[in-house]
Amino acid sequence: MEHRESQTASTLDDPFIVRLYQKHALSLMTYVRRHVRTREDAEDIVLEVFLAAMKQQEIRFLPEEKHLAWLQRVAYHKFVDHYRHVSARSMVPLEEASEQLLTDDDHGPEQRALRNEEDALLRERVGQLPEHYQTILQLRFANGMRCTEIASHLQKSDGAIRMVLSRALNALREIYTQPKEGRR
Amino acid sequence: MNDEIFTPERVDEQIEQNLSFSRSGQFARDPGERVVQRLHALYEEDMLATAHVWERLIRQESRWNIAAQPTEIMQALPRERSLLEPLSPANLPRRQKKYTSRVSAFSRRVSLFAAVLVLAFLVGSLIFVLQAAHPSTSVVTGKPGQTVYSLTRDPEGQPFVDLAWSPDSQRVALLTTGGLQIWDATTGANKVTAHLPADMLDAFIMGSLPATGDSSYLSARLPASGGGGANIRVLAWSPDGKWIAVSGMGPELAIVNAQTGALAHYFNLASSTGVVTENLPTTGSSTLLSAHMPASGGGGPTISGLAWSPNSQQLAVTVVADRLNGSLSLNIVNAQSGTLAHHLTISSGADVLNWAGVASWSPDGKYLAAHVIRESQVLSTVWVWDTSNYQVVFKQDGGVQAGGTFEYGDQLAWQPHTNNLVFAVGEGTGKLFTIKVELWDIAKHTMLQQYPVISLGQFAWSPNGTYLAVVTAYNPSVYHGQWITVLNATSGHPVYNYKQQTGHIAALAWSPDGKYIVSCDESTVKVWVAP
Repeated sequence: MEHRESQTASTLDDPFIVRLYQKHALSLMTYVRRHVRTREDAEDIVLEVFLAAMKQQEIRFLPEEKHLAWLQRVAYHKFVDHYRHVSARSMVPLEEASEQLLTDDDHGPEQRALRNEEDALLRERVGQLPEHYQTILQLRFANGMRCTEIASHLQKSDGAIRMVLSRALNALREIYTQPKEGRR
Repeated sequence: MNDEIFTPERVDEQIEQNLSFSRSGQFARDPGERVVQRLHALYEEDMLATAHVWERLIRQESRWNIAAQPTEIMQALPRERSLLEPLSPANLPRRQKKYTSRVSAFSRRVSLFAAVLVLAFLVGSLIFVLQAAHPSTSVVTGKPGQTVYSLTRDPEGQPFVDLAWSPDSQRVALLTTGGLQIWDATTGANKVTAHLPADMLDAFIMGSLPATGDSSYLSARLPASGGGGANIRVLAWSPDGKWIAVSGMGPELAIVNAQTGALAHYFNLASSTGVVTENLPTTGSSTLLSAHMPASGGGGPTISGLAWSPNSQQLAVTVVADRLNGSLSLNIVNAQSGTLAHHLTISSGADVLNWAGVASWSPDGKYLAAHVIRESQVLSTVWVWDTSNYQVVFKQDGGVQAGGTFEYGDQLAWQPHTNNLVFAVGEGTGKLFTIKVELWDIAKHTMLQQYPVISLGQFAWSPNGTYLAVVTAYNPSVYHGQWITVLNATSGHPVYNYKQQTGHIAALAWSPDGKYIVSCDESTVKVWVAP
């Protein structure tokens, strides 16, 4: 009995791009989100960056350690294009619009605007941390790795990882301790 | 006042406490809680966005493929063709046409006759050579990837575990949890069932092992539907074609006659006297391996890999002596007597548990390589010994797979006619863990090539060493869903993707004559035309 599979639209044929995406997509998305306002715009830019990688051969000849820099460089050019063309938008993402209907004080429009502002500031502050701080934060919060696992992966001591992680969190925590204008 | 809320000693616990608070749906007001909550939410959002972009990428590529249909390309050709066509006789002056016409007719007849003679000579030579080399070989007519034979087990049947080609490429041996079968590769005919002892087969039964009774080991080792599970190499066909060595992943090792399936030798590594429970003749020496097994209550030895030496005289057997202690050894066993030729203890350092391993001899027999999984499937190491003195000549650590789920195989493979070794090396972070495939010249201790594929660790070389078939994952989010990608070994470029296997691919082998590849998941075996 012979099995014949019809190819569904759920795969990519290029193992290089599959691996590139697996290795760098999240880091690139985090980088892009620091520079664009909405998740939709960030998705568009990341998509365009990987489409460029699929079309162009240049990246395939670069050493692996230069791949993320190439992707970020392409993303930067996409930012420039993006801000040239974007105009003041009255459009609000759907999830924001629906949540604006809530009357609870914790989820009201004012609180939501404050949280968006804090999130943007949090992304910015994370981006300002040293690279190895950002790596450890990503391993902890995106990949769910504990300090021991991170230490083993990065070949550092467990104590060093704990020190970096606690320092990063204490620094980022200041976003929520500093007084804000207009905050209740 | 000390504002350092997060302390190095407790940072993990503090994060988990704050995350559990946020999962309860409550809005965090404490700054420490909020920073953890918001970091977690932002990374989750980014991961979700990343997954969404992946889907869009696939849809975009699908649109490109539809746009580039062959019919569209063919329609573009006539214009180009007309520019390349030679000047036709219709374009020549009349006198030239007549003369040209007579000369052309004669030339054509002569050329045609000569072409027929040359063709006949070539075909005849080809037939002669083929018959001389492989008297019973049929010419492959299918296109690459075309399935020539498929075997599907019954839903209630025993899962497929491992497979091997005969050296003459005529037969395939298939190991299931129910036993060993051997059949003609492209037809399934002349099926032979090997006679394996019952207690050896018992070791395969899901949920129990005679020595340890530990089902988690077994379930992790056998391919399960939906993916996951480490691959094993407990079936090996001797290079001289006479014997098939089989292990039940317990302490038993059987050698059967490859033609008849009759049991020729049977060794129980856990027995101090070599006597097995089934009143079978004892052929194992009491000095086999049992003398090297630690006296421990943590479970008996288990075989995780088998490999024949190129001269078919010895077997390299990787044995985990005791899963609780985790000591692993590579044992060179004289195949006919069962006596131990060499015992190599593989140690990866203090407090490191060696969990499983496979071994492989270089084509010239000069080296013996082993790929060892350790520390509860998290770490891996490749070892290579010089077989003249069994000194370690190469050792490479293979990276970390956080999360504890061993999703990739433990394979390595020597490139034919060389001392180059290919193996998978893990790297990366937790959910985005990835695997590199590297080719090393062992003699020169030089990495020759790094292949850009997400490999699940199963390899098969074409007999001439030009191509490498690799089990790869096509979805970077999970390791379910596998292809077999055939790479050009020199350039690293993929030349073919085989997508017909639906489950987790348990085994893969390229026929020694280069014509076919056989692959299996737990329920289906396919023999298909190699590219």
